[in-house]
Amino acid sequence: MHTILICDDDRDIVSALDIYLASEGYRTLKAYNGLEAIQAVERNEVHLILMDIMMPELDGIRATARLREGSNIPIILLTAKSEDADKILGLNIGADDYITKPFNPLEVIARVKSQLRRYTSLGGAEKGPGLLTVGPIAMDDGAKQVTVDGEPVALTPIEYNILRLLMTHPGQVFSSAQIYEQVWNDPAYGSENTVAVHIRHLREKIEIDPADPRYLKVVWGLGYKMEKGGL
Amino acid sequence: MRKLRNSLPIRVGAWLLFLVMVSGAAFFGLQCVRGIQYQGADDARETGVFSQMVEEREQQVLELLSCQLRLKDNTLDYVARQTCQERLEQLGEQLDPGQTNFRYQVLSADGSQVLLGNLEEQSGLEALVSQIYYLRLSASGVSQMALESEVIPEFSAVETEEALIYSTPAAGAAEEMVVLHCGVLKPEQMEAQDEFLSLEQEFARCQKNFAFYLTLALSFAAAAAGLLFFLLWASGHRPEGEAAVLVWPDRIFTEVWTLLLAGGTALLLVLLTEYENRWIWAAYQADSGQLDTLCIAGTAAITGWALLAAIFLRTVTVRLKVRALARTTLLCRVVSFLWRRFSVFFQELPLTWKTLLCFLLYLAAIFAADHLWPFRYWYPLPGAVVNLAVLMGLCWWSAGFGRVRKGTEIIAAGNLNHQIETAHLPADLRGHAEVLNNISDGLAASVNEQMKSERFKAELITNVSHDLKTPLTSIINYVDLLKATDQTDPRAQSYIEVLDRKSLRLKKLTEDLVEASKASTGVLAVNREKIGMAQLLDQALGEYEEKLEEKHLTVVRTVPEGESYVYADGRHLWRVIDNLLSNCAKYALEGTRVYIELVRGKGSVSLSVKNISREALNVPPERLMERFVRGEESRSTEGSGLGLSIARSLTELQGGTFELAVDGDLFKAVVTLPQSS
Repeated sequence: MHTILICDDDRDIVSALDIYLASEGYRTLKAYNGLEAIQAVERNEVHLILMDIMMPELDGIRATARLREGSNIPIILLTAKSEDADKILGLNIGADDYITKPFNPLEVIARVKSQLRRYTSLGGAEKGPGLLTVGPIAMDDGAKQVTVDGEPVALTPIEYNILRLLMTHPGQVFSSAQIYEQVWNDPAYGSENTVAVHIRHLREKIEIDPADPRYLKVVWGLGYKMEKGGL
Repeated sequence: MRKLRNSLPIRVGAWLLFLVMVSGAAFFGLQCVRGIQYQGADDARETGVFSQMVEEREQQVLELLSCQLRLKDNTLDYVARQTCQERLEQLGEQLDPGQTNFRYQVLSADGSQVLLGNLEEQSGLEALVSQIYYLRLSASGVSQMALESEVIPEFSAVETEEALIYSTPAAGAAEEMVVLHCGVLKPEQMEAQDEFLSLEQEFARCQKNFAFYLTLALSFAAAAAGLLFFLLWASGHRPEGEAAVLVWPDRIFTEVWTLLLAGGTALLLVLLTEYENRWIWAAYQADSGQLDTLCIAGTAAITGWALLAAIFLRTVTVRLKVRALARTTLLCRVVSFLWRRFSVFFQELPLTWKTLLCFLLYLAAIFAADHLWPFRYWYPLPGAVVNLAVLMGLCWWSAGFGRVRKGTEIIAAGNLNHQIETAHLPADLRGHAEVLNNISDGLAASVNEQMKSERFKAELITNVSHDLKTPLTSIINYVDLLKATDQTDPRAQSYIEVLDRKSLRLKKLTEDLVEASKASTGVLAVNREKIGMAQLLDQALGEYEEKLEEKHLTVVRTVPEGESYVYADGRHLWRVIDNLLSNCAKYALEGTRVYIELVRGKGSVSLSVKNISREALNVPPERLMERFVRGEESRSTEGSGLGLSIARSLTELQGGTFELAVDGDLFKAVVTLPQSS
């Protein structure tokens, strides 16, 4: 049983999250500003923190920075600030993930589970030969099996080949034509949006929020890439 | 030292001391002048003055002699005889031994007989005088000299061993000859108050003290010069301040002072001429009393002049110190007044008149240069000078104009803080440049204001979006929780469904609203790069494939050979196409075709999306791009009505154009973006 600290200055949001998390079987702690969150972490054993950014006393960014001084507990930022700059700042300061408000409760649960799995069980997943990992995504080329946060994912052969191409070259952008040529082994003539459709399906299988992918990213007008290291 | 300089009593003291020093220097200087003629002589008898005095006395003796000779002439008329007699008595008195220290004897040619003389005893001219002068004269020569008493006969001097012997040039050997023996008593035997005694005294005084006087004069002069230097250095400084200031004498025009000094100098020179005559006469007479008087008078005059000169120097120095020499002159004032008047008059003329006036002036100058040149040679010179001056003036003007034009270009290019340098510009251009600077100031201020309001807008959007999103989060979450509760009443279930749908709609609306505000206010950051339009289109169609298939829409895609690159921000461009395709999915008539065409134009790439609208489009295309306007008035469909507005704003942010056209039910959107090289 894991303990999750929920920290937001809006009490309704805190209790709603409390209900969702409790129904999933997590023990929850509540805090209403950054200082309370830090005190709660000091007094209790906490496995994950859901933290709002805009709070009185001590905001989420500062609280995260302070917590990171002595702890590597997963921190997910809950933020109404949807600017890229805010997300980048939060992630740079030491947060592990972010969710923008208004959020989908199911997404919150999914992300919490993902972070907890990585924090508790997958912390030091041993790398076997032919095992490719990007963030939570692990690909065992020998067994032709892909897992996300340890959960197996069913992929079609084409999806598998696309994913393998991208995962073997993390950070590199492949255009649709390049992907087509490498995966289908045919000239790209007339491929049109075939690749795009497959990638979208792939994204729906491995990403928590396919519209805002964290790992398999669309570089509009250029192609697709697997985020180097991921989040 | 500075304290000393600025102290008033010290300076008054210095002035007084300066006067004392100058008068001392002048007085002792004059004393030196008085003594300089005696320099090089050991004795008064060796001086030129002494010889002149002896000669004078000799002349008196000769005149006496000739008077006596004439009285012997019986043919002389009464008046002449009377005059002669009077003169004889006069001379006799002057040569009286009680009146003079000059002693003489006129002897017959053989020396046996004393014809005349002023010796009290017969013997011993040799014993009395220090030196005897001899003169041999013929009687006729003497009488002739006396007859023409005004004419001094030309004597030819024959120098012998002991004496000077004068003889008249025309004297015949046969004529009757007389001999004059004369001399001056030795200094210790002098009794009479005559010129010889006076000379002795004067010589004794001046000869003895010459070196002392000279030393004194030089020391005083040096001291006076030093004091003058100090006074000039201290001039203009007040006890309270550091910098020099003008006081009332310095406000008087420099010309007045110059005139005063010139007048003083002229007066001094006039006085000096008169003074010189008197001085020479007095020196000739060795008249100590007269010389003393002259010395004092001279000292006074020189001191006065020196004071005037020192005051003049002081005021000039002060003016130089405060850099006001030119502007305190009357000439400068008058000229600058006239110039100001003229330039004001000239400045107020309209530019055309100015140009005309300048041209007339130029014509006049050329005419004058051609016709008024007084010399026959070098005639092209003045014309060349005039033309050169005009050329320089024109260059000055055009350089100024160039500067103003360059500045205007810089301002026009967007650097509103640019200030055109107005120094050394012609007056008209300077006015122009100043106006331009003012415009740029005003523009810069208004742009600043606008930027401030943009920032304010951005802040407002962020804050409002935050304030909207936080309660919305709770609404969505609790509706979701409500769904999970057991609702026995079926109506409650349907109500919750409505709440769920509408809360999600509200979420979408809020997000769109924020995005639309950001896009239209230009708050969004735009990172433009080279984007493959065909690739982007493929990606977008991949994303929409299922949504379009759901509505049975067939996409007809026309893309030119090869990749069409545009210069745009990929994420914003995706949002544009996203909005267009989502429009198709929402509003296109089911089972129709959607035509998507990519066209490479000149320097631009156009993407057009055509579809048949499900509802009749009864609004003009311009209205469609306005916020919250949708093709149908019922507003019952999903969507915020912001999609096209966002698409247009985002396209324009990337430097492109977004056009809509409606032809019956045919809806057409064209996005044109600059081509990437």
